[in-house]
Amino acid sequence: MKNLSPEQANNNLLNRKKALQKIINTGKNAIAASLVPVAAIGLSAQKASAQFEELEINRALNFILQVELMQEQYYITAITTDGFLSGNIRGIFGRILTHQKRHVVILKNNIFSSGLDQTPPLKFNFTAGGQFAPFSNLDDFLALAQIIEDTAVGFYKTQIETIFQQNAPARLKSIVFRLASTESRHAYLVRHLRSQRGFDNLKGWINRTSEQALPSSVQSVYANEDNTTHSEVNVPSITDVNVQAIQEAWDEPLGSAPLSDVFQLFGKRFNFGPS
Amino acid sequence: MSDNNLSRKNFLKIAGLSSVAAMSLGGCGVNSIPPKADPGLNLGPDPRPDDFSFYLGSGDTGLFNFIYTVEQLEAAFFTKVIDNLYSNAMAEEERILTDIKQHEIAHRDFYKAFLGENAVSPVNFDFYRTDFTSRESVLENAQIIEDTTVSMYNGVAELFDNADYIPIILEIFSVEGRHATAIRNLRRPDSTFAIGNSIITSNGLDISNPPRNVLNVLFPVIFEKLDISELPIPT
Repeated sequence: MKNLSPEQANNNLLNRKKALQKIINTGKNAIAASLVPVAAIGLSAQKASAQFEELEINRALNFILQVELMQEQYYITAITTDGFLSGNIRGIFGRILTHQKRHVVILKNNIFSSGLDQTPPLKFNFTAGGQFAPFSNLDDFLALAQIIEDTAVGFYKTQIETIFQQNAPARLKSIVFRLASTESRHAYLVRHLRSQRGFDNLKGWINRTSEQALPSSVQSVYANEDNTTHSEVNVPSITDVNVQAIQEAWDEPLGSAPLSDVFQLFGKRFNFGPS
Repeated sequence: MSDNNLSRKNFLKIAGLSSVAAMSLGGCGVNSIPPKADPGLNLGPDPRPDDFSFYLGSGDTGLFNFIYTVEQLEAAFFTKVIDNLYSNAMAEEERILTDIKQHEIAHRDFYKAFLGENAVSPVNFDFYRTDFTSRESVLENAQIIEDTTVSMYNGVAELFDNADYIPIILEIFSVEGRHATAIRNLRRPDSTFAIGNSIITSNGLDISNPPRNVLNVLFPVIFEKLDISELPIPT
């Protein structure tokens, strides 16, 4: 939508879209299976839809949790590998790890008991079957850290969108934005540290040159970063700013497909369900 | 009219963009240190709000206009930084600040186009407390502005009524987080300062401020008196 409609039209649009979304989603087996049919036990439609929303929110939180657990495992391994990280860089990743641990706790605390199975944490093989030595080779470590952080930043966006569409409480809306915001700071720092090791074109923000010397199997993480149209606004046509800077100025959302590519690189598969 | 302009400008000089230590970016609200009058200044009459009130709108439109105004501020600040770049800037540093300037201009122009006829008129700025010849002054103020912008995005998200607008701010806010980290890293390179306790809590949560708190930090450099009275507020 190019222009904002009057408030009333906004509300009508939102209500129609939500109603449509619910009709579509309740047709999906994996979700409908956990919902008690409304008619069968006389539950009000309102209560059933609240259950549905809570389930969708928990699914999104659980997906984010998987990413945070991956980050936690990656950085714990790096920090506890004797003699690997030292000095400033150790301090930085130690702080990042502290944040990741807290993120895991917060997410677990906020995933309500709704019958959603707590999946045991995936154990990743960060050597990618021997392709990399991330816990003895600093460049490998930083390259994989870059992928992991940029993936986290992008994936948070699609899950936050779900959480907001499903009417999460304000407190939870705030938390997920602040979690994702911290991840963006991590992402900059990792890219910056890597850029100092000979990657002159690598910046703290993403453009196509981000893909320098990264595994081809995870190129999907950066596939959409050429995009310069946002909310139907063709940005190059309304600003004098050059195209590369425009590409850098927006971080693209990532769905479960690129995240699956990253998980797969590290030897794991995760079922993200029908969406 | 010119008398009112003069007194408004004096008022701006009295309320300062305070030093970093006085900035309460952790959501504590109003600056705790009262503004100090510059000595020797001819203090005119207090500004009358009616003359300068600049209405931003209500609801989601008001929120977008608020964001648009802050992006205007960022674009104006970093444009001035680059136009006057301090002489001891390293090449990498200049590249980073130029990138940030470009990004903020793109953001500003995007919001203006997105808002269309709902966009407020451009606002005027006076970054009088920044010494643009001083690296430390520029980076100190850049940090305040970027951290405050990050806190703004984290704070406005929950206030939107229409969830369809959330993807718009999602794609931009993380870039502001990168900017804020870049500035902090320029001030204290390769340390934990960029992800430190003054902006990320012990819970690993980045700062968040509702529009009222954001405006408390930024109003001294904004010439117009912004009317945010009809913006949504946190519950």
